[in-house]
Parts: sequence; structure tokens; C-alpha cells
Amino acid sequence: MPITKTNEQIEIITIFTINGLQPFIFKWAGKKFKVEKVNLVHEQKQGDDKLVYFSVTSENNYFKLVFNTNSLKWFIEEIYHE
Amino acid sequence: MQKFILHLDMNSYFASVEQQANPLYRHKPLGVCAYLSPRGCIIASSKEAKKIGIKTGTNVAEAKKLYPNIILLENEPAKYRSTTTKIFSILSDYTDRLEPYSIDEAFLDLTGHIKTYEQGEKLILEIKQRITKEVGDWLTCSAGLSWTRFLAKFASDICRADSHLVLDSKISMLEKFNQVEMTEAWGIGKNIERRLNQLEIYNLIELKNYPVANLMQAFGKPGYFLWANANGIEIEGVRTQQEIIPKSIGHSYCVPKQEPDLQYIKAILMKLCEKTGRRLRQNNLEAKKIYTGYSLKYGGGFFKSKKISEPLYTTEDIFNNAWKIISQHPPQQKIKMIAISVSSLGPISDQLNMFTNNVHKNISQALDKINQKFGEHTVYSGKMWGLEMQAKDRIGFRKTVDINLKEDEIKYL
Repeated sequence: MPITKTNEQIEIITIFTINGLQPFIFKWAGKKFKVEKVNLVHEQKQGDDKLVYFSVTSENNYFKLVFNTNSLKWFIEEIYHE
Repeated sequence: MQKFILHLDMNSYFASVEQQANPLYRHKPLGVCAYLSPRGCIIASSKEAKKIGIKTGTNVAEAKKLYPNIILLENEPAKYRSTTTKIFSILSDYTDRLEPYSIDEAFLDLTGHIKTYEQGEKLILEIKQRITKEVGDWLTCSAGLSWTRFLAKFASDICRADSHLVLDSKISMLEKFNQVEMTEAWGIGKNIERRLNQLEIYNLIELKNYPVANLMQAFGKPGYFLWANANGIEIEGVRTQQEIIPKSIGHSYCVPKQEPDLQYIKAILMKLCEKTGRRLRQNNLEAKKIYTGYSLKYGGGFFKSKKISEPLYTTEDIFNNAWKIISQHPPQQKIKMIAISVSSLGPISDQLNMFTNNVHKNISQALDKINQKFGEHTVYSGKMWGLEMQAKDRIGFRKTVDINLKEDEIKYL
């Protein structure tokens, strides 16, 4: 199955839309990816941290991005590419 | 006043949420599993998987035999709960009488909010559109609208995925009763069907027309419920989350280590008692009955229930009573599953026992607050040492769900 799990911190540009915070462009593996669509947003508590997950697609790849609302950092948790 | 009850049921829910999150999974057979080991069970399959015979309950090994390229994912409870919160938040815009029935089903009492079934149908389409637009465009649901809870769920159960059915009169009800098997009706499984057949009842119309006194003689009180449901008589109505007291709270776990190791069983039991106790306290309830035991790998098992004179509230109380039962009947063969549940639930009584005080209750509440704030397993009994990855968070198929309906949008800053 072409899915990779990881937990790398990423650099990202975000925008605030009518739906709230949304990832816009991020850098991973030396490449920039523009988020074409945010497919699902969900939350989870991990200890004292609140994590917000953005399941997004870009250039026929799927990424699961995570925003830690305590540390204000972004991570990639999953990558799926065909 | 004319009653209007709506039942909403998300289609292939966990699988649909996964396909919503990752569009590259769409149009493909996919199964969401409790565990990905060969004996792990599929707890939700996509419509594509269902078409090739891979359904809920199929195990991983069987699914791979049926379709080697099936996508299998381990379930993510937080993802489904979070999505359900958003869906139920939309539903709560239409009525204050919303009953979350399970993680993917809800009843809405629309009495007083709509005046006709036509208005109800427009509302159904509006709700479906909002779910698509505000939660996810891959998520679909079936909906049923009628004047009782039973008929609303019956309607949504028998209609196709991503559609709705309105039963607005006894004529339309009877028409549908004529078209389906008895076991398609909510609450009538194979066992009940067999017993109804013994009374020469073979379909819902015959159930409707059967003398209620005779049904009660055969089934007791449930006989009345069967008759009332088939006659379009409401029994309990839509109950909000605040009105529902669960009948029992419990947890079970299929153990990876199957040897009858008492220390291991004790540790797992402690963890299950902690989870049970947390939910009990979260609901401000105490229990007066306990049920615990284990099943064996090659069949059989041991289960026992016991009434408790002092109400159960703390994890320690639940565990001590459960362990007393199991330790007196330890397994001699390989085990498959351990279970614990508490019942005879009621609101917490603040009366102090002559021989104890509230210190243990207060400690339990304090530990709950710490684990709630800093995460599960922050503070725990030493008996559970090393068990973080066992008996993990799973979505139960229980009929009440702890969904916070007050969150109507994601607040993450």
C-alpha cells in the first residue's frame, strides 16, 4: 500500500478563510505543494495538546497535515501517492 | 398534534469518512478494521467492498482472499467522533430534541418545527446538502420520516443508500410492511422471528393484526413493544442525551496474549475497569450490578453477574468486585476475550456510608480530571503498567454516544 507514515515538521503558509484556518502551501521533501483541496478536518486531544488534522490533496497525492494548537507547529503525518 | 420523527443513518460510515479524507481511496473496496492482524475484524466496509461480499464481521485474512488488493485501514476513533460532532451539530440546528442513537445514527423530533410531510422532505434534502457541503462531499445518508421512532428507523433502514423514505400514513406503512421480510424491521432478528413463527406470525402485517394479549403472554412486556411498533403506536419518543440513562456501561477486549496468565488477565481487567469507571463517572452515575468474565479460544467461557450492596463508583471498587469473581474461576485454557460491565445504573447518591467516607470518590474524580486534561494513561494504577497499547480506544456500537453538541464549529485557536 503506497502510504507512508511519518511525523516531520514542515514549513507552511496558511490562510484564514470563512471556514477558519486552512493550509495553503507547504514544503516537503524539497518540494512545494499547493493544497488543492481540504477534504476533511478533525480534532484530537493528545495529552494537554489539541491537534487539528487536515486531510488534503495536492497533485494527485494525499497528505495528512497536523497542527498542534499548543506549540503552533505543523507536521506531516501521512503521505499517500499512487 | 401530528408527530414528525426523522431518523438519519450515515452510509458505510467509517469507510466513507476514510474515503472522504483520502479521495484516492474512493471507488475502491476498502475495509476499516479494529486490528490489522489476520484475525482482526472489518468493522465497516465501503459500498465497493460490500458488492464483492466483504462485509462487517469479515476478518482480514478472509477479506484478502476475496480481494487481494483490498485497502485495509486501522480505525481512527477520533476522526469518526470529530466528524459525527459536526454532523450532529448540523442536526441540532433543526430541533432541540435530538437523540444521538449511535456514532452514525440520530433521531430528530421535528414536531412543531414542520407542519407537513412535504416540509419534512424538503428539510431532509436540506440536511443532506449541508452535510455534503459543510462536512464532506463523499458522505451520504439514508433518512426515514414518519410519526413514530420505530417507523422512522424502519423507513431509513429499508430505503437505499443516499435516499429517503417517508411513511406518512397507515396505508404507506402497510404497503412497505408487505414488501419486506420481518427481519428487516428494527428489533426483529432471527431469534425473535423464530419465536414469532411459532405463533404463526410470518410477516409484519400478521404481527400488526395479532392479539396483543397473546403476544404479551408469549414475550412478556417486549410483546407489547412488538405489537405497538407494528401498529404505529409510539412507545418512548425521542429522548435527548440528557434524558437517557444507559442500561449498562462496559468494555471487552480480544486479548493478543491468549495463555491463561492470571497476572496478565488481572492487568487487562484493571484497564477495562478503569475505562468503565471513567464512563460511569463521566455520566455522574453509580452501579449496583457487575457482570464479568472471559471467553475461551476454543469455545465456551465463564461469565457471572452479581448484585452489589454498596454502589460501584471508583475504578478500585469495580476492579475488586470483578477480580473476586474471576479469580474464583480462573481459566485453565487459552482465552479469547475478557469483558466487564456494570448495570443497575442510577444517579450518584451523596449519602455517606457509615463505614467509609468520600475520599476514594474524590480521588477518582481528581484522577479523571488529570487524565482528561493531560491524556489517557497519565496517571494510572500500577497494575496497568506496560499496557498502553492494549485495550486501546475503540468506537463502541452502543446506543448512546458522548457527543458534545455544543461545539458547532471547530475551535482550534
